[in-house]
Amino acid sequence: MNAHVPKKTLADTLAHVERIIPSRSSNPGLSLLRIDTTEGGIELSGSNMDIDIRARFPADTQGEGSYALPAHVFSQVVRALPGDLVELEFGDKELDLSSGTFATKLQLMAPSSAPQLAFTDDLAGALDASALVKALGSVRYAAAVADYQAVFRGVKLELGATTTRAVATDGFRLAYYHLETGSGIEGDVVVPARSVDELTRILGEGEAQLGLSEGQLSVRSGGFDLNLKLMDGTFPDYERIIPKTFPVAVTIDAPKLSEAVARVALMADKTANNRVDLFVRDGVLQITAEGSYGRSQESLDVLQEGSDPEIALAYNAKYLIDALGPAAGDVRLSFSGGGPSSSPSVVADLGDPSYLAMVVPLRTG
Amino acid sequence: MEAVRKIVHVDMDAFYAAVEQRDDAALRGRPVAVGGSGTRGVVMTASYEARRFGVGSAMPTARALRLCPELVVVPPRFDAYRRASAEIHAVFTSITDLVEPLALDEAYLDVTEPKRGPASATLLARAIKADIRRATGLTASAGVSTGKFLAKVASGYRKPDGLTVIPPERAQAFLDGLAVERFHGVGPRTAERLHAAGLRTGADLRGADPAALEALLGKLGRFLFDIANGIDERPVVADRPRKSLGAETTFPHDLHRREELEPVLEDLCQEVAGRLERAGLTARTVTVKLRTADFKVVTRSRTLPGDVSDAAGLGAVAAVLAFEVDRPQGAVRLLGVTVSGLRPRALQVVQPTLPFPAEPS
Repeated sequence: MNAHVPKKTLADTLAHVERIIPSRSSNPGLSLLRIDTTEGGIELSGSNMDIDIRARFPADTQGEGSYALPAHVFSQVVRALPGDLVELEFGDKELDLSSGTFATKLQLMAPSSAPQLAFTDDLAGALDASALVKALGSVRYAAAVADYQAVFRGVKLELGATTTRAVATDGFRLAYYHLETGSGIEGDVVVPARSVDELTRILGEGEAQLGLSEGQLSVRSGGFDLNLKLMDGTFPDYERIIPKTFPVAVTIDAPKLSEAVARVALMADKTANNRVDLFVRDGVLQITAEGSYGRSQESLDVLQEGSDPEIALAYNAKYLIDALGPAAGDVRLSFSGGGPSSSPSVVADLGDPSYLAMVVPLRTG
Repeated sequence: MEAVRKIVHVDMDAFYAAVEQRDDAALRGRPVAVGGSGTRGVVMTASYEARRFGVGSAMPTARALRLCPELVVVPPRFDAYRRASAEIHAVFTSITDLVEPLALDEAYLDVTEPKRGPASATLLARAIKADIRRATGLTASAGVSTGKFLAKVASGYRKPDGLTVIPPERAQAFLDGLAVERFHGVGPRTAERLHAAGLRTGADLRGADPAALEALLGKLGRFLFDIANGIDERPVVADRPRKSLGAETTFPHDLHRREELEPVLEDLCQEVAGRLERAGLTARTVTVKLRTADFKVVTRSRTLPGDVSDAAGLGAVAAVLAFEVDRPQGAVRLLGVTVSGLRPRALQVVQPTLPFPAEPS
């Protein structure tokens, strides 16, 4: 069987699949790319156990067949090809690949040695792909990194009848992004944060079809099929701990505040929680930091509200900057306690009320 | 012969209670006990107002309340005591590096060659007391002498806010007149045995046969004989900062299964967390040690982005290290948990967690 494809189409599609396939694995079959040719199209598939991926693209093909070969060698060759067009001729044992002035023979493996993957057509749900990307991308930062944090290393998707919400937390801060639209399927799932990263890379324009089955979320979008293995465990009831009353709240442009915090935090002690201090009084937010190299401070005018005339709190500068990240315009930063209290502060995006973040201040006294 | 040493023993007056009275004006002048208020609560420290009613340390709170119905019982705030203790320690180290803390509220100082201040140990002790008062608003009692034992006896001689000096020429007379119960290491049982042997005072101990004393009390007998003779060469050992602390356990029979090892690991983390709490420290690095049945020792460490000190936090990391990082196959004979990267709690800010409800929704 043979096929003609533009190099760019093959290289771009292959790049997405290759990212997922591990270059080395104790299970050698896992590092294989499977290629299926059908009438008028080529399918590339692979897996890393957490994510199964299949990419389909149209191609000028003759004959059907299934093949397997090491993903990374194939990718390197394709990326390096000199021509605009690639000619593939699959034999029993070898793939003849030529492009422009270049030709190679790549050894093929039995397709049965690659992971046996199943992609369902039972995709009852759908969401706007760019809205899903926005939701996942807005909360991803808050997911935990460390392997001992179990379910917090995932992003929770709350698929409701008329709402969809993405939530992430590492126990110190939390973010959610709320869509006022249902997907057609319902359930709470936790997707590993690394799988979320791959998903947001692949999702483009248009619609993302969704399917939920035992232990797995299936997504189809723009020629890609993904099976995302779900994490065991549940998130705690975070709604209950969002403070409702705030003695002091300030409104300020998020990028302006974020830049100021980052600037002041250059003096903060990285080994002592990267501490920056915030002090609000008379409509002025003062940010200070002190470390082994010196002291910095910056004062910003803010719209101040609340029952108390002033408040002083300290934060890990990174947590504050992260929480402000998704907001493009004004945010309301609501403080619910300081000093020895450690009640979470809340960041609300006034331009996009879908986004909300909580950050726990440092306990200082 | 070596030059005569100058040792100061500083003991804070009713430390925990004094901190509470300092921080809460409503408690000043009133009988206060720091301790547990429940039915099994015990008084940790009583203020001098409470001591007049006979309330003392280690007394059940219920009994203390019977002795003194006016008594205000407040729960301990160790963070506040640690902060005050750090301030006091800073005063000590401004005078000498030879500081041996015995507790949060008590330390020996060797001021034979002080870094600053007058050469007279008496004047130095007065300066230390004044500095502590300026830094913390609290009073201390100090004892000055040529050895640790006499310095400690001296600091307890007049409290609160006392300063007692036992100069070398008065040391022997002082020791001779001291009841045996006042000697270090002599509790009620030992005192009984000494009394039975006809020994009631320091003078009796000094005149006793050292071999007979040793036969009666073992090593303590020799120690008491030396002390009573004015021989107390024990150096003031500066407290080197601890680098690590840990706990380990060897199993009576080898364990194979994760379900058997998990509770052991939890207990070890519990113990390490308890030690951290008592020492007022947090840790940055967790190490798990495993010895297999064939005596292979494997250690796995993880340095965390933030400080941990609680059993749950330690346990989560330790479990990953013990069970999920490529563990050697086979039965386990020994399991240990060690923490390092230690820092005092009082001197740091803490990143608290979100107040999630204990049970997942």
